Amino acid sequence: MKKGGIIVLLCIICSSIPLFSRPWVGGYRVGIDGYVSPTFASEEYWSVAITTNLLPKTLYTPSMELGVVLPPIPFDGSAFFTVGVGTTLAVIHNHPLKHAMRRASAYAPSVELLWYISFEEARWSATSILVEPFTLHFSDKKVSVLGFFALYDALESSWGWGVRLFEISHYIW
Amino acid sequence: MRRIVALITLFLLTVTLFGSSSVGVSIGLFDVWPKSVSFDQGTFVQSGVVVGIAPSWELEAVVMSEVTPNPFQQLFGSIGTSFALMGPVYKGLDEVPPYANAYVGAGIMGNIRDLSAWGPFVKITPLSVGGPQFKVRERTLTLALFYNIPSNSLTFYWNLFNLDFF
Repeated sequence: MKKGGIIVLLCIICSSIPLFSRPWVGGYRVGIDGYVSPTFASEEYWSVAITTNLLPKTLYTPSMELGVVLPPIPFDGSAFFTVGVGTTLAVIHNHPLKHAMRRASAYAPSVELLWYISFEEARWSATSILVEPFTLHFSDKKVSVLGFFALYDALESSWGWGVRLFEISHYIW
Repeated sequence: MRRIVALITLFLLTVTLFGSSSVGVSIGLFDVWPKSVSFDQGTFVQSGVVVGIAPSWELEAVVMSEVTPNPFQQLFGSIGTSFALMGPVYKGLDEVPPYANAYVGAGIMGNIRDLSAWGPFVKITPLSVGGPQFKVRERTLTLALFYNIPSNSLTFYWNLFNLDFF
């Protein structure tokens, strides 16, 4: 009976290990952006995307995303589909803010290349490179503030810039 | 400008008089209804200082700045007070306050550059988690109404989130 109990216990422990060791593969991301470029309105944009980690076992994973960039209510600005690829540039666990956070965290600046396709004209409208130097990784969440865009406006053939004020990624798979 | 300096002095004096030990630095987002006559369109951030002056009361001084399209072109400041609805927040470090709370607040705000817009505001924060004892507090979806006295107009604004580091 005792032996049977130990076997059952071992089975429970072994079957639950994958639940905790499985890396995060994908989730959603929400960002708040401001752009300075003729194709974009001056108001705030909401960026929403589904994102996936291509090498989920490492925090240095490259990622891909599909999403939309929407003007806020009452939706009277231009809206865009987005396709993006990005990667983490560094992972530093011993960062200056670690004692100010309730959860274990890592400083993980990242960079991302984004293509914008206009809803109205259904064609490539802009490309941007987004640098996010202030990013903290909390296992299933990633939070970033004050990311900077360098943006090429393909519709106007001009260069612009932008700021991602805030971004949160939540991994659910 | 004199009024702003006077208000900041008043704020600092109040903080000194109450001798509060709970001081936090606050950063957050600031969004304005697009049809507002007090603000031009753009994106904004805010930062400030929050000070506990009584178990359920706090003072907050905040600067709101435009980020895009013209960084720092629009610069607003506010001073206000908030009351914690779900229980005392600033109880001392030996006693744990409620982890979740809600706040109502009021104060005055104005355009720092030329005072072309100024007046009172009221606000409500329906959900806040954390606090001084937890080092960090996250205030979510603060909704506010600002009455601009010079233009006799109301502006609806909100803070999607504020992070306070104590």
